[in-house]
Amino acid sequence: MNLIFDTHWVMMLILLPLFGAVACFLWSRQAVTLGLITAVSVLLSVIALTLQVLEQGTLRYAVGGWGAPLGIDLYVDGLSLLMLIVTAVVGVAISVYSSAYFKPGKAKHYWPLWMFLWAALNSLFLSADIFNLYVTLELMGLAAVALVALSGSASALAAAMRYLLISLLGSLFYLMGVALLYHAYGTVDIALLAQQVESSPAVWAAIGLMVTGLLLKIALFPLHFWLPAAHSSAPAPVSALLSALVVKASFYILLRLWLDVFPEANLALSYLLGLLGASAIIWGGIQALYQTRLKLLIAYSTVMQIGYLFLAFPLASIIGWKAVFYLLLSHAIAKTAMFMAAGNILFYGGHDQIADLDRVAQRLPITLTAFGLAGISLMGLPPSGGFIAKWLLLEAIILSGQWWWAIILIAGGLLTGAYVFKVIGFAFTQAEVPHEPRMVPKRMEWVTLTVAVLAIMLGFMAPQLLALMDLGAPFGETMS
Amino acid sequence: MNWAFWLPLLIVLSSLLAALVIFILPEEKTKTRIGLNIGAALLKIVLVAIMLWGVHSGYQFETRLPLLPGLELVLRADTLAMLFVALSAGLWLLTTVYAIGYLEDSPHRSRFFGFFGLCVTATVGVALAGNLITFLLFYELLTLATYPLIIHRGTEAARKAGRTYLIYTLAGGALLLIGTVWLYTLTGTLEFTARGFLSTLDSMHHPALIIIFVLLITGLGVKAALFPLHGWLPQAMVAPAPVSALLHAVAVVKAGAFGIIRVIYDVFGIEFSASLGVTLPLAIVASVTIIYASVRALFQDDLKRRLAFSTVSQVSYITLGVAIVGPLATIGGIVHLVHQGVMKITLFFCAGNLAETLGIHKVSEMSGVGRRMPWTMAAFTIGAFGMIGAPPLAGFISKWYLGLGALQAGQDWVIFVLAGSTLLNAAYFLPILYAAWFGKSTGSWPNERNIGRYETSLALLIPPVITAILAVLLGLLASVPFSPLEWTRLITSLEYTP
Amino acid sequence: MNDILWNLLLLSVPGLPLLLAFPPLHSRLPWFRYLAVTPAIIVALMSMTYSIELSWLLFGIGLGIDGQAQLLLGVSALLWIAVATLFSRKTSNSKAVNNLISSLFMLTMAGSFGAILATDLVGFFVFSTLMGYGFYGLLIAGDDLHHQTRRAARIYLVAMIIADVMLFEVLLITALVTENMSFAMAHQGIAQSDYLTLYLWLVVFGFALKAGIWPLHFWLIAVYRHLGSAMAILLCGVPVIIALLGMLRWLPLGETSSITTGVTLQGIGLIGLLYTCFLIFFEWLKNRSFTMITVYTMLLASGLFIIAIGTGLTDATTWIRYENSVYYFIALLSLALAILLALTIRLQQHHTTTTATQVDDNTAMWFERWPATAVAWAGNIGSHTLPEWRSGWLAKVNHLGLLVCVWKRSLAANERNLQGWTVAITLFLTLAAIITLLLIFH
Repeated sequence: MNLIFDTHWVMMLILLPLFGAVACFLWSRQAVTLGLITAVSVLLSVIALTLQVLEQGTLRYAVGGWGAPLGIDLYVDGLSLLMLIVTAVVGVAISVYSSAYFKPGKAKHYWPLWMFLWAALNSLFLSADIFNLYVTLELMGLAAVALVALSGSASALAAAMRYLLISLLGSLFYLMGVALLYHAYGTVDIALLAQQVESSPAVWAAIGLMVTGLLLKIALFPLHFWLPAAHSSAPAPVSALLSALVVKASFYILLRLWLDVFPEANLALSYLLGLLGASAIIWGGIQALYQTRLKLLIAYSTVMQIGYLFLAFPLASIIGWKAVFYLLLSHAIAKTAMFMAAGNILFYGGHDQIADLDRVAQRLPITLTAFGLAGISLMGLPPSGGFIAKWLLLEAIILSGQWWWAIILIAGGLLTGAYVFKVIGFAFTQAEVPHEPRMVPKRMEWVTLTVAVLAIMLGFMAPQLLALMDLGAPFGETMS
Repeated sequence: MNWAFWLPLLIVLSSLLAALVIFILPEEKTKTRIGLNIGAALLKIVLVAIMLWGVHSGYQFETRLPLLPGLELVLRADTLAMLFVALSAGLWLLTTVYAIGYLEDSPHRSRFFGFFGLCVTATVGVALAGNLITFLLFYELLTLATYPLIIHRGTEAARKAGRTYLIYTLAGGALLLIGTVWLYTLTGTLEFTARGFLSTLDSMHHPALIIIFVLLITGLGVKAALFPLHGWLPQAMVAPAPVSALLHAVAVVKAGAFGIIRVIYDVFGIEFSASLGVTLPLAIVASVTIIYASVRALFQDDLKRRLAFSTVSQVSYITLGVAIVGPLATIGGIVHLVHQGVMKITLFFCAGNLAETLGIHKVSEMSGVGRRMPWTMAAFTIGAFGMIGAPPLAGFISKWYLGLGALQAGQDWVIFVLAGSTLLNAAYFLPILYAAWFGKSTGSWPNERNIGRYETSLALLIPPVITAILAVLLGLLASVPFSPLEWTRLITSLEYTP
Repeated sequence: MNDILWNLLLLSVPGLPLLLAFPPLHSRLPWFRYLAVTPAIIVALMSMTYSIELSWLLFGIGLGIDGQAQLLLGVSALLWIAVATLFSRKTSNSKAVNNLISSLFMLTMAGSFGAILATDLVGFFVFSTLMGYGFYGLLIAGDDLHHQTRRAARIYLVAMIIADVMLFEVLLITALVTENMSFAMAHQGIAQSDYLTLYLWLVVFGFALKAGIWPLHFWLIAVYRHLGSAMAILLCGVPVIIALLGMLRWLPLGETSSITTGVTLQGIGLIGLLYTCFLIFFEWLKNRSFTMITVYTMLLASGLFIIAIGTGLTDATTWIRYENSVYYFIALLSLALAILLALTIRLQQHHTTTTATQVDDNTAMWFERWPATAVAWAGNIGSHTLPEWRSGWLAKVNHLGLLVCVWKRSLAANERNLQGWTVAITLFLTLAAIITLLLIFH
């Protein structure tokens, strides 16, 4: 047991994928094996870290022995731990999936990039200062852009280009905010900033810049314009990564800053964010409903689900934050399953036109089941992670008395139902298979189903996960 | 962690596990699938019988699993739950037998029976739910499990019906969710309690409670097919006959009605609801539904559509019985849950037999069919007379208590609703019977199939005959101990302050 | 031992016909029609007062035999034997039809015997309903059926259902005031309650409709017009007589008096008598149909019956004195009418076989035709207005569909605009400005 509690798992989480990336790059023939080994070992490290944190409470780890404000601090509380866990789970699933998905030619580019992205994500979640966050954000963005471009088609390249510009623009704004804060307070450490920050024009400007930059990267309506193209033209595992993790990482930064650094009295801004979130739900939902291609539909669904995350801002209650964070987790997992399922369908049928889906869907019952289960979670129907999140969110909304958000929430659920079932409905139509299909490897189908089942299982793990979230009280002290 | 803990869970799991296994069973393993289906159904009946006996002798069966901080997934066997559980377990067995006969040689049987099992799991879960969130959980599961059954045929019409069904039920579920959460924020508990748990609440919350009541009842009313939320039900009859049978008799519609009973009795408490003034509007809505749907049924030529409108009308009896505040009306309403189920399932089985054996889908094609399929039509006749409320069938008992309860509660207008409904029921059922028994058969039927020495295959024939006999016995032997009526008396005695 | 025997015997009076109604049973037994009557005859011949309580059945049903019931049972059994003889000659080619007719025959018989023996309201109601539907089936079960008979039978059915609904309400009222539904207890209970007048009127109306007493006689006349002798005898011997019996049993005669109701009934009976005389006169002038005149005689008798009931209601003590004679009256009425009808129908069939086809609904007097007109009119309204109503709705729904299309297009256009760089950057910068401004001016 001592081994578990004494090792610096925090460092392992960053170093393992980095080494993995390098190894995959160097021995590109064995990239798949190496990648899988890395993935599993990262998962194990996260489990070990979880045990460690459960035993010892929140961790603060100074890299190289230099503490804040000079050195780089790594910090683990409930929030970052859960992000790490979900990243590891999704990461392993995607690794397994990709091991069958990519042809060797693509695989040798994919694996190093993906490992690199994973390292960036892990370090982002572990960072305890806003500059470090910037660096990891930038790294993550670059890796993501490269992954989007991986499929090599013209539309993918165009989308990747656009994504790159957006990513840089967003980071730039964020960096300016960081610079302003550093100028004002001489530190970038979140904990230190939290103690010192006061209301002043410089802080406001910094907040404005950082929030806008992040919103762009999160793709909150109406800044979502880049997302559908990027997410839908990327290869399926990459789409899953982008939707499940990359977007969420930006949101994680915003959440961290909002909770810790930004002064409390920004009611108007929180309402604005809530309003934008609400618009995103409705807009994204309607757009998803009208899409004729499956992956675009799922991408718009991401636009919509991001909107939910912002409903917590005007509520500003612990239960609201928890709800949103739970939603984030369950959405990450469900969306992974959904993109994987779309990938299977695309793999099998060669296209993802929804109207022609019946020919494919009949032959892929496992995939369709997975899609359906993921859809249930997205809709927020019980029993699923989405339901728990929605329940908590509704509770927060009603407690705050701002009932209009409830209408949005419900309308969003119904819209989700509409577009999910628009797809599932085709699974039951009888149709001929006109062309020679490309058989989907069993591994891809089963991993999709596993992830989807996990999205449902989240509905039964609420007590444990909510308890984990309380570690280090990231959302503030509970009243009770 | 003993029997009292495991039994409710086992009852839910018995069909769930069977369903999951059936899902992954290859299509051609017919024998294994039949064995699993029947085995699970029998197992469930045995378990339910044990539990019935246990509840009757005063044991407490309860399963609690944590779901959210402060909220648990509770499965509890109280008397009301047992009534519904016994109904669903019993009719599930019959419907399974019927479905096996009905779907012989048709594609996608694994999928069908898988969802079929899920559907029953959800229904039993709805019945056993010990608090509102558990109820909600299974209620939504039911929506999801039924959808594939409705669109099983995969035609354009089926897809459309499925879509309509979803729009209605998901919207209803959403309202139910809001109501539930709201209630939770007010009270901090959702546990079903005999006579309700809200009456102690401060009176300043009463307006909110009325809104919550409306939300909950509207949400449940979608499935219970209360006017004007009944639009999905007549469309959903495109589903295969066993599905319609289950849908109309046990699963979906009844889940809604059962929910209404739960909300009024075990959440609000009937006396408290009456003091809030919400029961009279509900009774009026139910009455309007009864009459309106009966009138609509008159003009349907499609047999299953006519039966569907009849369901809309009949299920509202339950709501009506609940909304008339009084012990006798309560008995009438709750016992109709069982009676309507048995009678309506008979009718749908028979309709399915006609469609499957002779290709008859329309009332106008039924002329003389009684001579070709006497057993089927005899069962149909009993079901139809039961619906009309002719003595001494099951429907008579329900109507008796409803009317009596209405008089007792001083709501004499209900009598006219009942009388009007009886007349209308007669008006749309008797012509069918007339045509079937006394009409001249017009030669051969659209696609007549020759099935063995009986009028149709035995798997299709036996279930409706059994349910028809049940419909007679439920009426004749209503006063015998353990009859649904006596059980309902027991339930009712718990719900009213003596 | 003796008790058990009696129980069995009493139960088998309605029970045996019920059992024999199953096609597999009666198709294997010879003489099954007579067999089914046997218990009734035995019970009618043994002079004994006996009753049993079947508490497990429904809400508890009682069967009993006393002098009055014996008389009626005997007469009724006689009628049934006669009808059975007539029926056994009238067979169809199809085995299925024969089975059906036999089953209906048995059901009707069981219903009529049960109703005579019933000692409580529920039992009477159950058996009389069984008899009513069974009789309706018998009316229309033949192979060669005049379409007018079919229509008439439908009117009978409607009348019967309406009557049943009324009587059901009566049952509910009774159940409300008394726990025990036996006739004796129910009379006591109802006599003391506020519902007395309502009860009386509902009972009178319900049974008057069933018995075809003026002014609710329209279905009776219509049915009789085209009936064969067997069915004609059955009609007067079974449904009508049972309905009259029902009135005697259900009304609290001799226990309470309600002067207004009684007098009104007497008045109605009197008007009915006069009206019937008038009808007979016209019928004689126009058609000279013996059958119809016999039927009108029945109306006369039922008019007399209503006057008697009215008198009984005005004065309880008088009623007790002539109560028994009323039972004799019904019993004899059924016998006499049966014989009369059988004879006249025979006569008529011998004389005018050719005119039978011409006989149509028009033969009824113009003032007798209103119920049929009303029914036709209501049917038309229903079938004509509803479809249009629905097409209007459909048009509206289509319109909605168009609207959705327009919306869809405009939304798609908006989304395309959003994806352009210029718009995107403008939005982004605007948002940044707005956020910062919001913060600064907060």
